Amino acid sequence: MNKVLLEKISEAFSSVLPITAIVLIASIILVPMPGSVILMFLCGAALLIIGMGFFTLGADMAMTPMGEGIGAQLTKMSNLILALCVSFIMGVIITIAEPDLMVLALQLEQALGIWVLIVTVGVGVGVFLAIAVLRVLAGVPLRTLLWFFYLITFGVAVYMFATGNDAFIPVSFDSGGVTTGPITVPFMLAMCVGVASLLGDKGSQEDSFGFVALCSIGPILAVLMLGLINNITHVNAGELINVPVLAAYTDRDIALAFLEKFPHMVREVSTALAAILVCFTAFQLITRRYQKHQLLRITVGFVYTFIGLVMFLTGVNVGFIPVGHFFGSELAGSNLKWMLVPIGVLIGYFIVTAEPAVHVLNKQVEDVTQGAITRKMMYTGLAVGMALALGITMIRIITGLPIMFILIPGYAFALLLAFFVPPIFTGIAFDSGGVCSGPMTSTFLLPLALGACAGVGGDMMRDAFGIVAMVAMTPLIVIQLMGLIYKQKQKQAAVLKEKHAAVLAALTPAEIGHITIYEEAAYG
Amino acid sequence: MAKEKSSLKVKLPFQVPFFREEAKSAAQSKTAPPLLKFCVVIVNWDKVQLVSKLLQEKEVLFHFISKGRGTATSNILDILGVGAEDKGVVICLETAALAPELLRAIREELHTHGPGAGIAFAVALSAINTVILRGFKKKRGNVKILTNEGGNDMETIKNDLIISVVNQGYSDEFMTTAREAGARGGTVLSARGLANKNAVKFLGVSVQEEKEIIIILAKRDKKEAIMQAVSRTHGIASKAEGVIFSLPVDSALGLSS
Repeated sequence: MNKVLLEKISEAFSSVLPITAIVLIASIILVPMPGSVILMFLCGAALLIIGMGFFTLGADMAMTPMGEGIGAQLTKMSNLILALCVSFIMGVIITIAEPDLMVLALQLEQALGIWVLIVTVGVGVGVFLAIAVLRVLAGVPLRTLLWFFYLITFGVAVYMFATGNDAFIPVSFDSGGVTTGPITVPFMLAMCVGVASLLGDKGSQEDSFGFVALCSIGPILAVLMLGLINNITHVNAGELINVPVLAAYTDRDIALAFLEKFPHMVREVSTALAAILVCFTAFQLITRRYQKHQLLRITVGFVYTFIGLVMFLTGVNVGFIPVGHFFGSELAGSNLKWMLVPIGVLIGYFIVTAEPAVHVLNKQVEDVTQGAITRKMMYTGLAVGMALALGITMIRIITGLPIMFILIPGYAFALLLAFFVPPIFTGIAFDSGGVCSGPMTSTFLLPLALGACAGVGGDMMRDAFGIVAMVAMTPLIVIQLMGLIYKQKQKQAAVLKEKHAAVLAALTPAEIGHITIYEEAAYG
Repeated sequence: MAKEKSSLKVKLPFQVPFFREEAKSAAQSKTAPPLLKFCVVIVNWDKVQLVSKLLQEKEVLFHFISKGRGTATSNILDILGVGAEDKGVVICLETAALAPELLRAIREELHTHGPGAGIAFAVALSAINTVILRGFKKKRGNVKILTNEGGNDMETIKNDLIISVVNQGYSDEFMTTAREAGARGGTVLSARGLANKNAVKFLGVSVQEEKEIIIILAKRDKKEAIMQAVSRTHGIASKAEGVIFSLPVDSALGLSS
């Protein structure tokens, strides 16, 4: 069998199977579920595996080269204003087409007009994408910008908290994770590498990350501002809470559930991909960067991405939402409430590989660092981060701790760490926040939290919705801590280097510059 | 165009142990300078760590790793996205006496880890910075220098390394032509052109040209045909602006079983 294909298949299996197994085992031991719900879950998992395989292959073939190409071409333009305008427009288009944003907008429909929110967030991302491009070109450290914008963000948030508008805060922070979905993320990651790749003079490795990081702030700030301006004090959680869990699904019901969702997903994914396709076509027509062979490959990759995402999203939306919700509410309602925390940690640890954009990030990291930071390291770091996020969220749900008490120290710590770790880790860490909070989080973890919240009897809006924000925050800390360890190792290497330097310092310039030339006969 | 230089983006995954002992005593060494070989190992990316570990075990003074991508065996497979695999290019220096043994050891190591691993070859150096050479002298001071000692299981057919530098985006079509002319496979590395005259400045940072380096190992009798074919379609006069040249390679090994 074809080796690349085999590799992709095994990657897809190993991404989805662990979480499936954990949920199955936990359900058998702790919360027995109706067979039909489990059957639905298993069908969903099967779709997930196929979808994941196609998606990662498609991302490799289409999204990454496209993003890198556009990024590189932006740098080549040598016209700053034009480059910034193009990035702004692209940011807006891609965000508006993001299906997750529509979901968020529908949740807040009663408080805000749908289009008000979508356009605001779109402009937010557009502005920040332009800022991100400018940052790389102007060589401003990512750290500085992160500090600046997070200070503003938290300033606004604290003000709202103080004035009693805090209902809107969790949703705002969630929106940062929500808008950076499985289509936007691979594209932005690659674009950043593209922009940085041609600026070879210094630190292009460090600058290869940070687009997603900055673009996640845009929506947070935009939504917070909307809440502040419109003085929204109450938010209706919308449809997400009313997840129907029927104990008596027949096999036909299950098949119908998937079939009904399918066209819906086709529509969503095609809208999002169409936005990127439009940007790319315009780009190709102007620059003629790609040759026929590559264009064919990108087209096929596009089709793969489409198939993969439709499969994945259908599977996860139909198969995973009911299980997540059921699981959370049953467990929280029982006298095993405290079990939510360890189970949450376990699920968090294993769910990370099932998040499609994670594979794209990890590959990108390995590529850019030429293997110095391995994929395995990244998976472990992200898994620990995710486990932490779920653990904290479950504790919050049980105790009702306000989210700001965790978000503020968490982000403060993450931003402080940025002073001590190698810059590339800061970039990767802040990017991975947006990467981890993908479709798996919104379709499995969010219902799980909502269910748990309903079971405990807490305030959904205040307690459950912060889960995405949490998932987006913990990797910032964990990945940077990983950077600290890495730095320590580098220091050890530096000691050895100093020893060499001492030896070299003893040599005269003539000795250092001396070249031994071999006799021609010796080497033929 | 002759000024064109391409920089491999090489990354040092660990410290460089240039000197294991004091260099001073080495300077007094009276033995003739050992002939060095430039060894290149191209393997699947997931096998790179194995090679790296082996090189450290063999006390090879330093090695560099660069990530590249393999080329597909057919156009259709490539367009379907299942043609090419990621490749790691590991380069190091070793004395001529030990290079064949090193390459053989790499083959042994990879042999146990499944087939289709890659290729390894060595090219003789014509000169080297003396300070670096001392590290080798010190380390293998007593080894008798043997020239043209190929070993028995080395391929007796002579090979050449065809190196081509083309503009970004042309490597796929380039390889199609090369394959038609008899090339079995190749590896592509991304690179930046450093033609300093044309470097565009953007906000004070120079923007560099994107290039692709294509490495093809070919039997000597096939070399000319391949080079002619690709020069015609992707040579300096074409859009690819290819610079194509070849080096003699003295010990080449297929690493697959």
